[in-house]
Order: sequence, then structure tokens, then C-alpha cells
Amino acid sequence: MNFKLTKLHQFNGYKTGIYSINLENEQETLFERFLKENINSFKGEIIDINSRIVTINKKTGARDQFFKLKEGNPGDGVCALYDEPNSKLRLYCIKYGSTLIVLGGGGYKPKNIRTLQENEKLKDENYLLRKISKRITERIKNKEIKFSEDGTEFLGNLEFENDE
Amino acid sequence: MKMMNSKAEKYNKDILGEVLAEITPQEQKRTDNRMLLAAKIKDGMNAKGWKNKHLAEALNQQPSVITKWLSGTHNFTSDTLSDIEDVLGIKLLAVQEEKIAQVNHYHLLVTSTAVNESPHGISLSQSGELYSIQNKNS
Repeated sequence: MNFKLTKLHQFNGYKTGIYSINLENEQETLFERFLKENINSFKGEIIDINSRIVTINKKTGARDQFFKLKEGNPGDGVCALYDEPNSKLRLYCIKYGSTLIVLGGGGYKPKNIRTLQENEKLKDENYLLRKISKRITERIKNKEIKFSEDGTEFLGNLEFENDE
Repeated sequence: MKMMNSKAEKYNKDILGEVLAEITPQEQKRTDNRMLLAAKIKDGMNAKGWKNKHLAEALNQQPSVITKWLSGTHNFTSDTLSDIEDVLGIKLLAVQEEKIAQVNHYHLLVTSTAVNESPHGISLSQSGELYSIQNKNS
């Protein structure tokens, strides 16, 4: 799987760097695709999710309390953003401390499911982020990717090739 | 159907920029306040070394309620905030009584008076007040 990490400069605060992922040959990031898939059916919730990301980006940082942690494999940082109590949308992300998050995709979460494995769309989005997180972690371990001094930016080679 | 298509096209250009532009300052301020309040409560818990369950016990709530409060999505009532203030010993509500300074507006009226000087002293050529002050609030 080829992909690259892309900083979303529309979120221009200093507390937390906001990234997303471009899959191979995709112009839009996973987060932008999530927005497009849901803007017509869940506009209020999409606005709310973005407003919360703005607050994280500019005011509070990515505190653990704002995320549903442990949504992936142990220690891989895959989590979901808490949103309005009656929200039907789930957005997955990868969190690196309180200063950097990678926004992935997500989708509609029906009331009648208990685990993400019961919904194909959510399962696909979640497992995709697990794979991506694993690749990023390898590069961090190999020191091919480092963090900026304030922790809000990835530094190094952010493009991932299939044959690694 | 045509409207839905045009709407989708509109968002296709720069969907993130479009969505961010639709957040009103009032909406953003509300989100900021909810999340900052939740962060302040969490800081208060940390200062006391409390986990969610400790706050839940102190306020006779379920731990899941505390998780929701700390998620920054909850719209608190002033009663709940007051209870949290009490158990954590922090200030969340800024409702201390403040004296409101009363502003009095005065109109100053100055009247000129001719003065005659003589060896016997000073006399006013006509009666009149030198000035008067009227309280416009009275």
C-alpha cells in the first residue's frame, strides 16, 4: 500500500498538528473523503467534528479525554474522536501524544452494533488506520521519521512505498 | 435531485475549507468553552490525584457520566458545575458579586456677574449665582 502523510494547513493553530493520509493516486485525503461521504446526510455532525478539531488545534491540544482510546491494536495510537452524545458518526484517527493527530476516515455507526467489527465500513476504515500506524511506527523506530521540537510536525520522509 | 448534485459539486472543490467556513464564531466559541471547561475539570482531578471513579463517587454518578463530561461534548448546567467546584475545590463559574459603579451625570451651569469695586469692599451689581450643579439622574 502506497500512501503519504499530508499536513492539513487549514487547521492553522499551534497546539496540535493535524495530518491526514493520501492513498496512492488519490487527490483527496482520507479525512476529506470522510467529509464528502457524510456532509449531505450528517451536516450538523460534520460541522461539530470540525469545530472540535479546531479547538484541539488552537486551544486545548489533543488531550486523551477527548478521544475514545484503544480502538486499534495495543499501543498503535488508533482512537476515535468523541463527538456529540447522539452523534451517528465515528471518526478514526492516530494520536501521537497531545501535539499531533492523523485524521483517518470513518462513517455511520448504527445504534444496534456493539463493536466496529459488526460494520464493514467502520471495520475497513479502522483496519486501514491500523496498517498505516504500523508503517509509521516502523519509520519512527528506524529514525526515518522524527518529530519537530514542539511535537506538532513529522520530519523526514512522509511518503510510503509498497515494496518497503 | 438537481439541488443535491449542485451541493455536492460545491463541496467537491475544497470541502475542508468550505466546512470550516461554515462554522459560525458563536458555534466555535461554544465548542471552545465546552472543551476548555472539560480540560479544567480534568486538571482539577489530576491536582487531587483523582481518577474518573473518584469524581463519580464524590458526586454519586456513574463513571460513564464522568467520561462524557470530560469528553468536552457535554452542555453543563450551573448546578452540576457548582457541585464539581465544591468537590474539586476549583472555580468554574465566575459569578462573584461585583459592585456596579453608579455613574452620575452633572450639568454645569456658569453664570457671569458684574462686580463693582469700591473703597468699602466688593459688591455685586446684581444678584445671581455663580454656578449651579444639577444632577441629571435626580
